[in-house]
Amino acid sequence: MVLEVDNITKLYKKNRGAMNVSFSIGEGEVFGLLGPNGSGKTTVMKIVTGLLRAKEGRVKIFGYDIVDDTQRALADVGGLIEAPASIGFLSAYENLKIVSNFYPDCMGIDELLDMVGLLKVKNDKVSKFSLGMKQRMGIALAVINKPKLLVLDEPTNGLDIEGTVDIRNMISNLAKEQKTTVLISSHLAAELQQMCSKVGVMQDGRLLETEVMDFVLENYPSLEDYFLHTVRKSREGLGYAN
Amino acid sequence: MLINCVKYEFSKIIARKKYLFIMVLEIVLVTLLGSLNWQSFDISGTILKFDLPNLYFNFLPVLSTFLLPVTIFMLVSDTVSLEFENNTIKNIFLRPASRFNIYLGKNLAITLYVLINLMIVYLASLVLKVAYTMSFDSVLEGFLAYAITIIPLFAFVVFCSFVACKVKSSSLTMFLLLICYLLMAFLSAYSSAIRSVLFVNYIGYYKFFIGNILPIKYILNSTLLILSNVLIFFILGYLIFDKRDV
Repeated sequence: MVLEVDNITKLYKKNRGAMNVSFSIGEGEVFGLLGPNGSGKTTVMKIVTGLLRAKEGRVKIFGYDIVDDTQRALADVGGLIEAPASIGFLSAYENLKIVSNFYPDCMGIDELLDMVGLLKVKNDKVSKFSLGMKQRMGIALAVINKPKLLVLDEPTNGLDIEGTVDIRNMISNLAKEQKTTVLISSHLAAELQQMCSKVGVMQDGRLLETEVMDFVLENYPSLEDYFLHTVRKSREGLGYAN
Repeated sequence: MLINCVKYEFSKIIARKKYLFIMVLEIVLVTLLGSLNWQSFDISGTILKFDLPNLYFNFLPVLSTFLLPVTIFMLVSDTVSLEFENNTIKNIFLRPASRFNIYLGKNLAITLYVLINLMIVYLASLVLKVAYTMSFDSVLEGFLAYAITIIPLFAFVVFCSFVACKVKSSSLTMFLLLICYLLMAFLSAYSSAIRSVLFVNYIGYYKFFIGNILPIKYILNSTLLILSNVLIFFILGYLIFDKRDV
């Protein structure tokens, strides 16, 4: 398994966060976490990448524990969690240059900037970039090490239609051509339907169900319908409707 | 991986224009004071001498007790607090490096910048001294004084990082560090017992090494005190840093 998430729990005030979330992702899979805002997706993504420490549970990446063996666990991981974390006072090129020190075998910086469409502005300060350009910069920072596991939290947030399509194609290409395993979260069902091979539905901090996308599309008109069905079923199970 | 963390942090420090400006400012200041060849410079009863033959010894207290501490406050605020404040800390937390290495890397990068500052000022004052007096007297002692000053300043960096770990705002960090520094200076002035245990009073530690006799007992005592401060504040700072969520 590339990623094993075992029963992780992290709660904030008013019981927000994530509760007893477990799932695993095999090599080459594109796993989507679908849920509304505040459903706990970002908390899970942060725990997976070691940005947050779970109160309970464990995360293993390529067999290495994210807390006890961070260095080895993150060696082949790329991540874009919430807003991109690029350094504003550095240029796009400098941002990638200082990060490239961490990887013995990483992508060429110009090649990477070309891939995300920022080559022409490579010497411009990131603080002057638009939201969409910053998001592209975040993607570049995430894939610089040719990751075997890519963790993307709402990667198309703030992007225009063209940017959204570009990013979606980029992720699909990485998964198909380089066999990159992807964990992606979104509140947009249509977006995940186009990219994912497996999907997990999150609601109120819980992972309600995980299912193979082919099965979902064979049995439901769309991923959106599957999501609504799963959420209603869960609410009925808890004793309240809608 | 530690070396990568240091490189990452140091690259960010020197990319900020204000830190290059501080280096230039220090060179200008030492050049100006040395060129004027001030024999005495009275500031509220304290006589400071900037005569050329002893320029590097006379400028070192100004550098190590005022200019560099303020620079360290700024560095620590930018490197630790500001990174949590604007979430750019994620950029390094997502890299294959342990939090221990990241935290140590931050402390070492700041110390490296401070050491470079010390060396640049030493070289500037040496050039001035040699150019004007044509004398190479006490060149080695001068170098030793500047090099050794990094040891108490490292303890200072570690203490400031500890404070910065706990505070979420960079401007508040800067303010708190300034207050702490003034408070330590105030307490040291009024109590010899406090003075002997506060590491800020060991910034003149280099003086033990440049006389004719080496006071081994004092050197050992002060070294152990500085070391224990480093250990205590580093461990406390790391424990807070390690537990911080992003």
